Amino acid sequence: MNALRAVRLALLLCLAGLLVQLVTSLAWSPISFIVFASVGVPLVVAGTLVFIWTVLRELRRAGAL
Amino acid sequence: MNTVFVISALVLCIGLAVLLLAGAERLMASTAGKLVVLAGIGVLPLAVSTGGLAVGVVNSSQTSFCLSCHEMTPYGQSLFVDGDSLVAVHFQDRLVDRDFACYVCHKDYAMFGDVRTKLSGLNHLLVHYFGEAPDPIELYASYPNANCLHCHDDSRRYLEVDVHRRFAAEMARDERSCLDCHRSSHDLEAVHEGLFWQAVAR
Ligand code: HEC
Ligand code: HEC
Ligand code: HEC
Ligand code: HEC
Repeated sequence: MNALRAVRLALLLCLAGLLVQLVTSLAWSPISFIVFASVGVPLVVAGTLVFIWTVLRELRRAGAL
Repeated sequence: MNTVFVISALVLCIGLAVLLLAGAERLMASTAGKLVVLAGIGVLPLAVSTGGLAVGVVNSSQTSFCLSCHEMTPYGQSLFVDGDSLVAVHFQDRLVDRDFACYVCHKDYAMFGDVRTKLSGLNHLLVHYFGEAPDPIELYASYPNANCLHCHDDSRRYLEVDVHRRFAAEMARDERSCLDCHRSSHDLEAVHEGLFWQAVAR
């Protein structure tokens, strides 16, 4: 996967996570808090990890690491 | 208030993520741009998620939250009964923070207790949506003295009662329960009979 597509994927994951968090925060209930914590937060973390992985890969390819 | 803050922060982060998505190609071409993406993808959303989790943990410790499930209703009503049951006295005399009354008596005070309490709460949720609560509901484990002692332990009024000092060691080991002598905790009988205390407006 080229770097730009990977970054777009990372942003989309992050965006999806934030949207899940927003919806569950607006409709607060016991079950929505579970969804916030078990779906919303992991999606954001996944987005961050994909981004960091992409940057590291690019750096290594450029010989900086 | 806190929830409003989290929602505003989420909306801002979402706006930022959309902008970054649109400008990803140009931003990823420069180091400064990459740092902007890092902020918009990693730093800010992670901070907001953490804040949201923290607010959620507090909100899900509130008395009103506990009472959002019908299984908990009689226990909520028992806060208002007339009489000398522990729960009613603590709530009505404001000996516990009313907004967190259930939580301060029922949370796990050991290390990582909040996390463990939430996990055990997850079990309530599963039973609520997919199972059937036993009637009557029972504690998963017998009530730990540590929860009462968290507030009473070295307080003067507590220490000045002879029997408390006499049985201190046994009670610390949970071999004798506070409830052996302080009997009624939730007075559900009074709830069924509708014996409630009503503050008189003046
Ligand atoms: C003053 C402390 C105190 C407060 C406040 C309190 N509880 Fe309890 N609760 C107890 C104790 C002590 C027991 C254990 C009773 C027993 O073992 O006989 C108990 C037992 C229970 C049980 C298990 C059923 C039973 O009767 O043993 C449930 C469910 C419960 N409480 C829910 C709640 C809810 C919901 C709230 C808030 C509306 C609440 N409690 C507030 C002290 C408290
Ligand atoms: C999603 C609905 C729901 C919410 C919210 C809820 N409960 Fe419960 N609770 C239940 C059900 C259902 C049971 C019976 C579970 C069982 O017996 O396995 C239960 C059982 C309990 C018990 C006895 C079992 C045990 O954990 O030892 C206590 C104490 C209790 N709840 C306290 C609370 C407190 C305190 C809160 C708020 C922080 C709360 N509950 C919020 C549904 C709920
Ligand atoms: C969040 C703190 C807190 C917790 C938890 C708590 N108490 Fe208390 N309790 C108080 C305060 C504050 C008072 C009033 C001061 C005093 O009597 O020491 C009080 C008063 C009492 C009294 C005297 C009530 C009266 O009629 O004057 C008894 C008995 C008592 N508590 C027993 C218990 C037992 C048993 C538990 C555990 C099930 C418990 N408490 C849990 C804070 C707490
Ligand atoms: C062996 C019986 C016994 C046990 C066990 C016991 N208590 Fe007591 N408690 C008493 C007696 C007796 C009094 C005095 C009642 C009175 O003066 O009206 C008392 C009074 C209290 C008071 C009120 C003190 C005051 O002067 O207002 C508190 C608070 C209290 N107990 C908390 C606890 C806690 C917390 C535990 C568990 C760690 C516990 N007790 C265990 C017998 C017991």
